[in-house]
Amino acid sequence: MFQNAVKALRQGDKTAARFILTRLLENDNKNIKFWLWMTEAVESTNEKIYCLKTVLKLDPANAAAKRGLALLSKVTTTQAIPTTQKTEEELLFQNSRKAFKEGDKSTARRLLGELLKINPKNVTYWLWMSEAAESSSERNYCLQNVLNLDPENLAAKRGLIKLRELPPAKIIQQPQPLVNSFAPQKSALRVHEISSSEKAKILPRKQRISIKKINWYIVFGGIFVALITFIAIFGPAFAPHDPMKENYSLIVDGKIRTPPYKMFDVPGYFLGTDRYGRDLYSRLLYAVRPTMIMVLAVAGVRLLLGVILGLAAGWLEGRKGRFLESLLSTSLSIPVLIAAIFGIYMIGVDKGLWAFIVGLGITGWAETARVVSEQTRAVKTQTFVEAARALGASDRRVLYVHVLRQILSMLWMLLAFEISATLLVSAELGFLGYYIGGGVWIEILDFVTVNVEGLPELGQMLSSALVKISDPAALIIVGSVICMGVLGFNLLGEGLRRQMSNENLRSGNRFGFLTPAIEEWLDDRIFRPASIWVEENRRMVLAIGGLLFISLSGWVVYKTVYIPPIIAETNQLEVAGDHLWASERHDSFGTLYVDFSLDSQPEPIWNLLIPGGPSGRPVVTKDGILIIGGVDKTAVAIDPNGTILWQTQLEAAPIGTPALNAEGNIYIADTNGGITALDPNGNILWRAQVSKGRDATSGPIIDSNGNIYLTIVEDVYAVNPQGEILWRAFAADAYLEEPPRLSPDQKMLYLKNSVFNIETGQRIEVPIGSPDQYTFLDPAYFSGADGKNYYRLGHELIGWQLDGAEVKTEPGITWEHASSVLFTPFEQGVTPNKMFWMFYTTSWTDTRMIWLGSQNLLVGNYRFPYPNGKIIAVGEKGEAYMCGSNGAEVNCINIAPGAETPTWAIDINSREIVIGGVIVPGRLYVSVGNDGLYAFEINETSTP
Amino acid sequence: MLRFLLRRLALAPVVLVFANFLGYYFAFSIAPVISANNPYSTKVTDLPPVLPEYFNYISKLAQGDFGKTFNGEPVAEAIARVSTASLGLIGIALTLSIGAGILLGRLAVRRNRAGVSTWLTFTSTIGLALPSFYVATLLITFFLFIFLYATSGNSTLIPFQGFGWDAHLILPVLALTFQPTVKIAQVTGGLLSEELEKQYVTASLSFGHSFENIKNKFAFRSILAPILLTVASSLRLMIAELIIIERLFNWPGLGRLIASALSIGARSQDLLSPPLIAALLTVLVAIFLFIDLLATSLSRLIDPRLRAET
Repeated sequence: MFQNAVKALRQGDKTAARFILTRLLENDNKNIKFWLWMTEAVESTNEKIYCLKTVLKLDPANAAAKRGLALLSKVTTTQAIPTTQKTEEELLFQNSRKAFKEGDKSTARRLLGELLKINPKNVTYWLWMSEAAESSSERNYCLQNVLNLDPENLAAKRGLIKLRELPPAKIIQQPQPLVNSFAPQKSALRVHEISSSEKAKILPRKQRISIKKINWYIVFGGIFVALITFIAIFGPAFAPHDPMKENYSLIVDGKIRTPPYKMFDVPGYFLGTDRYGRDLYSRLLYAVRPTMIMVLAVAGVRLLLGVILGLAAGWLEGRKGRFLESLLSTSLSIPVLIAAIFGIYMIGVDKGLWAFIVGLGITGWAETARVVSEQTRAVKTQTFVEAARALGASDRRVLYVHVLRQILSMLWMLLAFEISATLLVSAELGFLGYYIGGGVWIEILDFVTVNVEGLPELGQMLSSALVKISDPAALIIVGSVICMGVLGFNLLGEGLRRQMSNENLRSGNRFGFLTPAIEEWLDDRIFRPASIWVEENRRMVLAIGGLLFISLSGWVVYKTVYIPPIIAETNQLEVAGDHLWASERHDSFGTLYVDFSLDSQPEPIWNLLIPGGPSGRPVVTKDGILIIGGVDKTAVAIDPNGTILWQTQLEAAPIGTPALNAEGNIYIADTNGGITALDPNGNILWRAQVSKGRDATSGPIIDSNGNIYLTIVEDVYAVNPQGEILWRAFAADAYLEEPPRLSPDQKMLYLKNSVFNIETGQRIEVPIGSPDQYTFLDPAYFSGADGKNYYRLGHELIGWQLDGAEVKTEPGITWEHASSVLFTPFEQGVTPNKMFWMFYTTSWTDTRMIWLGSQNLLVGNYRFPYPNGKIIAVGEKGEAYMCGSNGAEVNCINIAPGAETPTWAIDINSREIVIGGVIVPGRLYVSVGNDGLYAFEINETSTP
Repeated sequence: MLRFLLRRLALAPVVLVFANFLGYYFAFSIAPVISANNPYSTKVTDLPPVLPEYFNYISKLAQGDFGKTFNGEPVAEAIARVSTASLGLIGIALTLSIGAGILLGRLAVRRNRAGVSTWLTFTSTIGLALPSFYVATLLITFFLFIFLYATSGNSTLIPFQGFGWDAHLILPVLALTFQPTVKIAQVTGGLLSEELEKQYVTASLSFGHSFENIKNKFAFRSILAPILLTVASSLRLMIAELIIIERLFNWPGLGRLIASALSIGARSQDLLSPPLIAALLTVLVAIFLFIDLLATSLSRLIDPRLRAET
């Protein structure tokens, strides 16, 4: 021991030497050598003199002591303290040390208190006081005082370091009693911070925190992840082109080239394009964001579920554990791909990214759970867990403190694995054709369309690039981007794992990679008060937590279980009065659209002869009553069973289809230029002579104010509900035989190539196309059932709207008609789902029906082998109901867009020509030449 | 141990039946959903109730009629044919990756300092980031360009695509083994280096056993169980990757059958035909269950620590 003291002194550690020597001297009071060394070890001159004097007392001839005294007396003349007082002090000190040895800390404290009153600057006393102090705050205070007096005091520093590792009971404050009894300096107590470099010198080698070493994994991983995050957030802003725009023909060096474009081939598309001409670089920039969102969200959900369930499965014993274990292995056996497809489609693929996230997240947690459960099981059997339990640790504590720590280090590896697994599944899904959001339809050949991915997403882009293996440039590029992303997370994860596995975790830090200062601040200010508060208000916290959890899970369940209707909402134009068929073209807007379908074959129920033959189509009131004009100057009302309700004589032969207004009044135009108004029971309300002697050439239409509009040869007339003419306007040079149409906002009236203001009859200029095109292209304005204005120019349908005096047009929809039809369409329209259709017919050629989707997608092209075609209506699924007559028979069909054969076909044995037809839910009515009105009904049991 | 095995085996038929029904129900109910999302399809979208159809299917099963695929080939034959192709490929790939992985893992354990050699951590970090289909495309490109330049486009020394238990195997197997090898190597290395820190190793060393002997025999036996589980999970991953790999290399295996059954671009009457999907799902679930059972049973057999309960 003496050797240690000498060693300590040689190292400069006086305090340690003093301690050791004090003990030695307690045992052997008379050892001169000890006293001599003690002289070296003590701090103050007085003590040195005392020691030397003691030496001389023991050995009056000791030369060293004499020399030392001589030296000291030169210096210490002013510091001479009367012996008695010194001895008293020494006595107190001795007694306090004795009290210490006996374990009587309170006596020791009292004695030391006295001592410190005498000599408050004595470092030794403060050090002993720190030993005697009960609370760590007092200890801290004493040690701080020591450092104040002697900033280099190693013992105090060591003591302070040790203190920091003990959890402080409260935030460190200056303890009151000590302050009062000693009345220290009023100046602020400098709290000494011990820097880590000092710590390194003080602490024994083993405990030293590792010297700063650059963790390259974190550096590179961080760079990659930061780069990916940057692209995810700001990428789309840098994209030079629209990622969804297909470029089928680009002019390079004066030649037209077709996709796919290779890298660096076309200026401006420097990474090339995919098969459909969509720029790869822009798609990449756009793709990172949804990919990262999806991947991180899915990984998060899977890790959360996996860790929770894995912990439970590995920890619980008995029946619960076995149940969870079998649940785990069952979930592990179901291939993620199929479960994911199921999940995504049940949630609804039109929800886009969120369907993918939820579908992929709730399947596939089993891998993580398996790993976690095995790890838990392995940890559970270790001895230290047994030891912890023997010490009384609850299950929760063991799980949280011991097991979770082990798992936490694996977490990064699991995250990296989950990320690449998610990307794999999304690539496979894209490969199989399940695209995020349902994909977009692209026409690749005439009449051949494919569904490819719409929303750019890295996994799906990869799968679509897999096609041509001999030109793998796109594949490698996309693969590299994926690789870089996953690599970044891998590197970052590995780096964090290394960081966390350093001593940081063991020394009690929660996060391991924050600096100790921040860590302490967080601990003191945030975590400790928070956990204390939670402990105290446990019930309230549980209640709030429970509420949050229930509401969150309820919202999640609602979002996933509630499947929205698959068919999109239609913003159908209103038919005034809710009549089933209000005028020639179903409604005054002329849409020919009905929002239902007749899917099964209708069976004939009755056939009624109309006097003189029908003048046009019937109209159907909301009660199902049919009203039709008979060329023999009659108007007939028929009930759904085929019985005539009433028959009224008119002044002149009706023409065209009657019109119904909101109240159910019937308006019929006649060949003598007049309009007759009848009430729903057939009584004539009035007849107005609109134009003198000229035939009306079509049935009327009614707007929502009840005004009546009709075509008379080349003019349009507007008549008010009382029969007075509002205005008349010149429409075209041609002999027009069709009724006008209302614009969707009912502010304009269309007739062929003219637009009129509905109130004044003034012509509105809506210039689309050039006038010299009009002769051959037979243009017409019309309203679409989707509530928009359209214009047909030849075989092209163009959407437009008026912006003040300007006309804004959308790209036209057209098709390659040249080899199929010679004339422009007879009728055209747009369904609420934005399916465009055109109906071609003549009296001597076959009839053709064309359906087009957006971007000129040819959805259907059906050749109906009957001339004299009449389009009855277009139904909810876009299917067309039409009739045609070839002189031997009349054929009516329902043909779905893109189908090769009709859904059903009816043969009517009649040599007459079909005039028109209407469909109402469950029924079809066709007016045929002189053979009157045929009614067909779908029987419930009829075969489709 | 026996109880554990029996318990698991008892569960298996239940799971298989459930998987069969799930596959059937899935194919049954999803076809109209998919065609409804397709505005241009003409399929009827209302469904008859599932259970009578399912019992119909089950009764046909009992008579041995598993239904037909689109080629008219009976499902049982089709699945048998593709399974042999796929499982052969996977078997070869797995064996190679286990061998190479363990070898590399052992090599990477350092003697002097605790831990795994840097080259392994580095390689595995990068390797985990390379999915097998990416590796496959890199390989193809690489060999394509090499042979284009080496043989001036006349012939390819290694065939790129196609089926055959010969040189056709090389590229697919290479693509499949890369990631599992790296993963197994990393796990082996990590576990082994941790194991070598334990006291019994020090004791053995002081008794005179050579380090190599301890590393390869004694310490290795202690870590066999977790390695088995890693192998099992790599196997599962390999089966999941089959779909893309088989498409890339034109290998007529299970993945291609699944792809053709599930893919939206399939011919309309074959898309998601319930008997085929039910049979496929049952086969897949059976394979996974078997792997799982084998892995956990073997690991419990090898490692007594895991036998503690249940």
